[in-house]
Amino acid sequence: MNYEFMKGGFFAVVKRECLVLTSRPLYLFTALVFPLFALFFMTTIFGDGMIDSIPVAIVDEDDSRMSRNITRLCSAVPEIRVTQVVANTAEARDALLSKEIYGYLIIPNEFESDVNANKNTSLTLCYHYAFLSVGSEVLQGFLNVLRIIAVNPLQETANFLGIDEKTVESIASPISISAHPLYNPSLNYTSYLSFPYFWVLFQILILLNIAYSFGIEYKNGKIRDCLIAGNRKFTNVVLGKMFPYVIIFSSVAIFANVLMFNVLEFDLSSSIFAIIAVCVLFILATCSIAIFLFSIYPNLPIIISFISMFGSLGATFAGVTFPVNAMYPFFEKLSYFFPIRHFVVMTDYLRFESHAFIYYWEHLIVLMSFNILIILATVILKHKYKAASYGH
Amino acid sequence: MNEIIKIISNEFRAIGTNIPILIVLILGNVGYGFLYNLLYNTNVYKEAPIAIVDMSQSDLSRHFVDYIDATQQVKVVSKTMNFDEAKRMLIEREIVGFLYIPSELKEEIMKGNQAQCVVYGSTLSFLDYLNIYEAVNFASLDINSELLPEMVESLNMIDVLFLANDKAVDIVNEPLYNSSEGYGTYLIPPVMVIIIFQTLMITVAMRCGEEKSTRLRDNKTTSWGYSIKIVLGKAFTNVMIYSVFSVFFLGLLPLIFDLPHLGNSLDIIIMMIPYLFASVFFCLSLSPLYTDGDMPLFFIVFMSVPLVFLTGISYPLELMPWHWKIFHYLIPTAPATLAFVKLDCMGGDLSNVVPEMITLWGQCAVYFILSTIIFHFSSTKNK
Repeated sequence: MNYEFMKGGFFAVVKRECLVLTSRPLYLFTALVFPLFALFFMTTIFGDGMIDSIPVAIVDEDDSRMSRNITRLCSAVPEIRVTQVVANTAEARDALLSKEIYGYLIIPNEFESDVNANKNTSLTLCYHYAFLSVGSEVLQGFLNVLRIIAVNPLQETANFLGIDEKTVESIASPISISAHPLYNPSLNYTSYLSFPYFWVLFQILILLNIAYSFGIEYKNGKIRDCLIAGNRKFTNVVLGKMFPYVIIFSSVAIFANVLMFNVLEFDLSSSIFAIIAVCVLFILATCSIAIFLFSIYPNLPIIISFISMFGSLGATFAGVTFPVNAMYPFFEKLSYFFPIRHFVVMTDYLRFESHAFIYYWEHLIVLMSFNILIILATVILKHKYKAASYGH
Repeated sequence: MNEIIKIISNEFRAIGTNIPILIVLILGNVGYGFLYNLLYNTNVYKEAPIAIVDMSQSDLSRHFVDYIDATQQVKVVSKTMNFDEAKRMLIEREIVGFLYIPSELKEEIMKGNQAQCVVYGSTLSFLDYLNIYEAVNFASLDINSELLPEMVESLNMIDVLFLANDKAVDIVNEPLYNSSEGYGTYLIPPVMVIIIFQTLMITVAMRCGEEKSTRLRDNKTTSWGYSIKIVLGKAFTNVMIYSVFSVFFLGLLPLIFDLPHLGNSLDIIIMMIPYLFASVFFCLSLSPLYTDGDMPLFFIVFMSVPLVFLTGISYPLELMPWHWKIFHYLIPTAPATLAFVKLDCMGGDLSNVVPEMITLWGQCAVYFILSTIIFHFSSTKNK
């Protein structure tokens, strides 16, 4: 056993890094307080997480018994809430622009008489798609009443003939659709986004913290001090500097998982220990990629700008909101170079499937492979340091 | 006045000779602008892969499946009679959902009864679920109106046969302000406004941090007048630089990538003036946090995703807890993004963005005063 490694090098660097970390409150802020803020933000921003009772308007150009009946039907679905009945489209557009409503249904002039005369007529359903998530909820809400509204004339005639409601329903919609949203039955936004997006934010902080902790040593010309503390071994420097961060980040990960899965009771099909283990692996992979990117160009301001971009792209390549397979194939392939992509796939399995391991083991191997980059980074940094020393 | 011009020229010189700042300004802005547009350039999420568990195996079920497959939202990649097989495909991410058609579909309908089909859709991405939900629902509406005459006949009542002639009302769908129903056309316009804010903040912060770490700040006087001039000088410099980038982000990129562009350019310029000034003053007010040139990035980059949420574009502001709503009014990018979407994507005019304009001018005033106070006292302290 190499006791030198245990006594002098590695632990001396760890000790030195702990002193650096506590030397300025700002370091603890970025390593500890910011992640906790991210956790607080992502678990509370969506309120109760349900987009429902969205205000909509009915443009009632007909003002008939039938149009009022339609307004009543629209008020009965949970997704939408009729807050205004207006006489023309211009008024509805104004309400839309002032964000009083997120969609409207146009009942045209002479609607009732056209229906009674068995003439072709239509209802126009408008929903706000510049706000896609709300707009799609409005669409779903209207679709739920659409079937009833579409056969309204039929229902009127049938009622007149004394045919019972159930029969009318069968005639009107012989094929009925029942929807089962899997994994998130109530389509709750907190369940949907809080977990993955906390990790998207956290990985940005991990990347920046690690790059900064190395970069500042280079910038201030202190890398030699680090090497002296680490018995002139770059392995000790790299691992020793990373170690306190890994401990802090892992502690945040444990806290976040306990909070989300035990306190807030997010769905979790696997053991909490499994998900914590994957989170720690992800932290290691992210640290590795940060130090690797830094080693390629160890200039703090420039590399930190690049790493910021890399971290921000994680939000896209996580594939949570817009599926990566819907992007250009090049970007889909590129996403595999981002640890967050594999992490999201793995944690999706852990959160929603039992026996998850058999589905995600390939991603696990890739995630673990990112750690090879530490070795590469160490070699590159060592090489560059030697080259610079000879230069002097 | 001469002093302000001198400060502005000093700022230009300092920015023009600072390589990292130039990288952020040129590569960052241009790179981010093009990259984000390219990432979402496929725009509409089409042909989500789904499976059909067709237990009926009838001409009717096949007809229904044809209707579903014809929609642009989904693509039927597998037809099976095995529920577990479909479930396996879903778990292994080969499909994003499946439709279960019961064996008695045709028989029930022939008898005049209703048959229930079940959609199982993954919600790991809400877009996947939305696609399968819409496709199956629209297809069912089509096939139901086609089945109407047969259903009426099945009633076996002569006097109701004329029901079959009753026309179902047509439903016309009209997605507003995003006619392609694309994800890119929804997300990119607000993101462009946010990127302007972020790179502007990074530039201002790097400059302040650099000044602080190298103690280059010109603290020859501690008068209030000079502090005001410093703040105004810095603000004008950055607003001038970012006027050019705003044209790039909000004028050129929407043209190149065919983004919604309904707004009047003059209205957008009038909105951008308080936005850019408020952003610079906001950033200068935070200058005590910029201990060196690099630290600000932590805060700014980390805030990128929260800023998107705080605009209220991706999740309605009304449903957020009150403490986050406050942030919407504190950070210039939130009202500005909303105002830009109203003007450029929704074709509104200035009368539609009055609340946002009041917020932005209010922020300008507050952050101008705050940044002047901060600059005044920091230069006093330095002295």
